[in-house]
Amino acid sequence: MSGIDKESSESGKDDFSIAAAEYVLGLLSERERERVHALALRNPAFREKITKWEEHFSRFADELEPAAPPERVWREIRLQTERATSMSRVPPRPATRFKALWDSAGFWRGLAFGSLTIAIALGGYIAAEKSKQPAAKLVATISPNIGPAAFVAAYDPGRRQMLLVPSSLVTNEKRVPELWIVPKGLKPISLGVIDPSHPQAITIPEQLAPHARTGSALVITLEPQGGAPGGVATGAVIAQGIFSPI
Amino acid sequence: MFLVAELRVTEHRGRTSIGNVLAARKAESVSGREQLSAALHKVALGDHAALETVYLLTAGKLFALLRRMLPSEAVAEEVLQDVYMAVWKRAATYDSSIASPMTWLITIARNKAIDRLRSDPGLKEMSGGEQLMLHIVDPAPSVLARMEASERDKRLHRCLDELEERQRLFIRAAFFGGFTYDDLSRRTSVPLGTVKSYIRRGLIRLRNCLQS
Repeated sequence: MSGIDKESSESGKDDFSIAAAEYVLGLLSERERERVHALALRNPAFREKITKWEEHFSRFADELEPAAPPERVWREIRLQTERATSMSRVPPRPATRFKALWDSAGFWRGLAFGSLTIAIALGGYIAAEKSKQPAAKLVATISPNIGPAAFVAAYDPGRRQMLLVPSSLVTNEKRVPELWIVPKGLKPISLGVIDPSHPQAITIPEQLAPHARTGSALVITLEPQGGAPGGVATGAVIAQGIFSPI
Repeated sequence: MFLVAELRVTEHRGRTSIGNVLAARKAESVSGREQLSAALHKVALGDHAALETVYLLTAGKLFALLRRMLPSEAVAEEVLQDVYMAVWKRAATYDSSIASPMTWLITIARNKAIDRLRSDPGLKEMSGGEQLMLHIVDPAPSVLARMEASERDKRLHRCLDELEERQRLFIRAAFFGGFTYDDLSRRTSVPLGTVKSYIRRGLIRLRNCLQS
């Protein structure tokens, strides 16, 4: 049993801290590890302990002399990543309108993914952009049912552009995440398979644009490769959020 | 008449090169951290050149770690590749306000190595290095002496010194060998409960020292 079962607060605090250390080091059995992982998903203070231990223990690596890997390792990495990019169904580059922002290191540095900060920052940027229509900009933080936010989505109705910024979405290797918009009282409408690892811009088709409004829900499900067959969601909902105006 | 030559350091396969040592040191200096963070953020946007920057700055250290944790060079090379593929896929999840970039990378590398050790039962049996460490004394004083000269955070090593030797060895073995309590109990023939309470006491002392 891992040390997180005690009740008294003093040793309870110890147990939390020690459980985090055990988790980071890899001392726990598979079952214990799963329990601690589940705790980490729902308890931000515990996640913080984990991060602190990771920082401390990473100093073990100071004992090591760096060693040059053979060149073929990098060659293989470059080959595979370039192949992954060319095969990606989602454009790897964000829409040019947002490129300047996304290229700015200053924007990314210090942004906490999944927090309101991103939503506000994106909203602030979008608001600063000149828009022909005064329609309200919408923002949704798409969160998994447990754990930190998985995505932040910002929608600019003037351009029918939805910006998706992924945070920490854990997916099953065999399945792909698909994004749906669920307008109030209507069936889910697919916005396509998304890339959980890169920010991306999605242009909403004109006929769907009226559905992107305050109160509409955004949902991510895990679907078979290639997306939900027949445009009907089959997989589990792993994250959801609701649009609200900025 | 003066002659001038530009000397460039060449890399030796499988051996440490000055280039790697300098790169590793650079990655961990304050400006190096910022450069690495910025590169990771660019990787999140699909920037291939930025991935190469991350690799150049960090592969030496991560490869050394994997060679220590895994039983063969070939396996270490495979896992190193997996690590940078994971970096490529997950760079968007890197949050510089939560973790330093090198820690994030080391965590990925360790977890990949542990996954590999545990998914391939043959590997753990082959892995002799860390098992021996359980029965040998602390790393050579020269390692620590070398570290004294650097600007790095020495709290972990100073606090480890306050533990009993076996506690220190167990904790180091866990880091570099990926051992579970179960593994440690079996390899040392010490009952599981004893190993657990012993190491936990060590971790509590370590925590108290690190926090002070």
